[in-house]
Amino acid sequence: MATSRRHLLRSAAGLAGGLALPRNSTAGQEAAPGALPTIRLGSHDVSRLIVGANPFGGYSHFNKLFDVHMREWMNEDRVLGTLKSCEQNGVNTWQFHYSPQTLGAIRRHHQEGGKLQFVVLSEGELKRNYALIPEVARMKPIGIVHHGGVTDERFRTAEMYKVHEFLKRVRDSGVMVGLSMHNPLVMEYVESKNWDLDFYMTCFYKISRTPEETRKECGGKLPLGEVFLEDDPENMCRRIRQTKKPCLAFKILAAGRLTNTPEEVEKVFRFAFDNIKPSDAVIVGMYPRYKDEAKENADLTRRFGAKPS
Amino acid sequence: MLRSRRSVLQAATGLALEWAKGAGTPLLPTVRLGKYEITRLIVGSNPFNGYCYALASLSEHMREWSTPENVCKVLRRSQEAGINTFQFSYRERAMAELKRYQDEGGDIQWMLLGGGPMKDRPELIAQVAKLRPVGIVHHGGVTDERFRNGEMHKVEEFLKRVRDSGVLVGLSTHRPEVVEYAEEKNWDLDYYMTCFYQFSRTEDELRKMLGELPLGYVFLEKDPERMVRVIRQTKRPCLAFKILAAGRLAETPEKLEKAFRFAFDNIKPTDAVIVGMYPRFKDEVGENAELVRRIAGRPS
Repeated sequence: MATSRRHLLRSAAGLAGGLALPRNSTAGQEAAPGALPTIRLGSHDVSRLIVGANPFGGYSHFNKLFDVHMREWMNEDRVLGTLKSCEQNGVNTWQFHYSPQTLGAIRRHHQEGGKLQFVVLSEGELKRNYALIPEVARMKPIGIVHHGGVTDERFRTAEMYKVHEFLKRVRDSGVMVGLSMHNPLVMEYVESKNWDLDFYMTCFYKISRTPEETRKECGGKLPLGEVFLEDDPENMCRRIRQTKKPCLAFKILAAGRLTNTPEEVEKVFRFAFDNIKPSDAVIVGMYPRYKDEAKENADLTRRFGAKPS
Repeated sequence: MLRSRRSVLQAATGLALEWAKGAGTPLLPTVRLGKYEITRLIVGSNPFNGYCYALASLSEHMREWSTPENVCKVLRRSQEAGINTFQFSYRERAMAELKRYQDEGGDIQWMLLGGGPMKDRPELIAQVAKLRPVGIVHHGGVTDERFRNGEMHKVEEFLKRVRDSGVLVGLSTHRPEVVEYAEEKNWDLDYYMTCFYQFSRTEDELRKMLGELPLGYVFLEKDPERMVRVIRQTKRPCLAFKILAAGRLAETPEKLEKAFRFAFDNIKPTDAVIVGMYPRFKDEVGENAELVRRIAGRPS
């Protein structure tokens, strides 16, 4: 499933039109209003901004209080409304973790006329029960991705053969094979083994460090809570540029820590698109409780993600 | 304003027999601050202003919820649970909320942090003092900034104005060195507000210290140990704040209890803690009061 350099360059300049353009629009077509730049993922045109799902499930990556706020507000109607808003702003793909709620939401989205493509992360039961993979594949996702937190843990405990086994099962199911991680060293390992996979999901921040690992990196000191280190994105971007496979970069806004001002958000999007490959995209979770995050993020992607490669 | 050893010990064991007004709940253990009996748990106000020290969206949630009605409800619940003192930062809105609560019959004691416009308008000190707060405290963030810039004379000037106003004189800081400095100079003040975490470090200071920059507000694990050391060294009462690291240590009941236990095991028997409360999803006021009753109520 590896894509040629020529294809990469073509897809980098591609523009998808959300609702306005057909799903299989090709790169270089005139952009419809609201169009976002796209990349190619197998046979799919994927907007360079993909909507994530963490806020929908109350995964704030800050604290339980904010988790509860998110869960309280994000009922299914609001999830559907957020997806619709994303689609109207040119986003054509949703990445979510496997759960009865997310599967229900994508079904309802399609029943109500929505056209979002989707990528499934192996959370919950799918993480444990590989027999579910073919069942999920029958729903025709773009791909199924091995969960990043689990990947990092397997890497730490030298159990990467388990990750490999999962990916083989996904390959057998006929959908694209993805591997998620927070630790850049995982990619180095996988590339050296030339594993059969189609794309990566790459976290900008190595949030899977243990407290001991964090202390070691921070001069013996431990910052409380989930730790997002300033230099992490550069480390991950270096790996992202080294692989030819498409990468979907996530947590580019450090789970909301870099959203204090419009300038800060703009700086993050600019950094991301300046430092990933033209054949890569970003995944951003959205919680439009107080502002139109879908529009803001789409506008920024249009500005910084559409540069000629 | 220094008190005798006897009065210190009296205050330390101050399981006051006074009962919280109208609620049938005994007051929490108390300490003495000048002529005042202060419960060892003081309700703070940062959540009311949306100062969550975390994420913009969470701040919005806090501001949205903290209507004058809800602020008054928190104060009422605090008194019901045995808390008798409220600490907040000077702002017109906050003063209006306090007045509303008092008009509704609330009689919580209060102390004021000289934040907001009071930072630049010291003439407000005398004006506010007439409303009879327990004390007025120099703002911690400003203190730390003045300390960094070698402008502590401005802090001292503020404290003199507070002394002249007749209310108790407080100094807030996030830096243990500030307490050492004020003690060494033997400044005329009555108590400190001491943050468990030095989150006023600049980005450059953090990079130098850690070799990395963690994003957002940085609460370092070992900071409390540094602050409680100076808290124990001064004879003046200290009101320790951010003992829960702005919610970072309140994720489970076990962590919450551990944080309260550490605080009361490591501050003096004459000290108290200030905790901001946001009882949006649970009775934080009742939970915190219960912990303080259990942990801080034992004889010193």
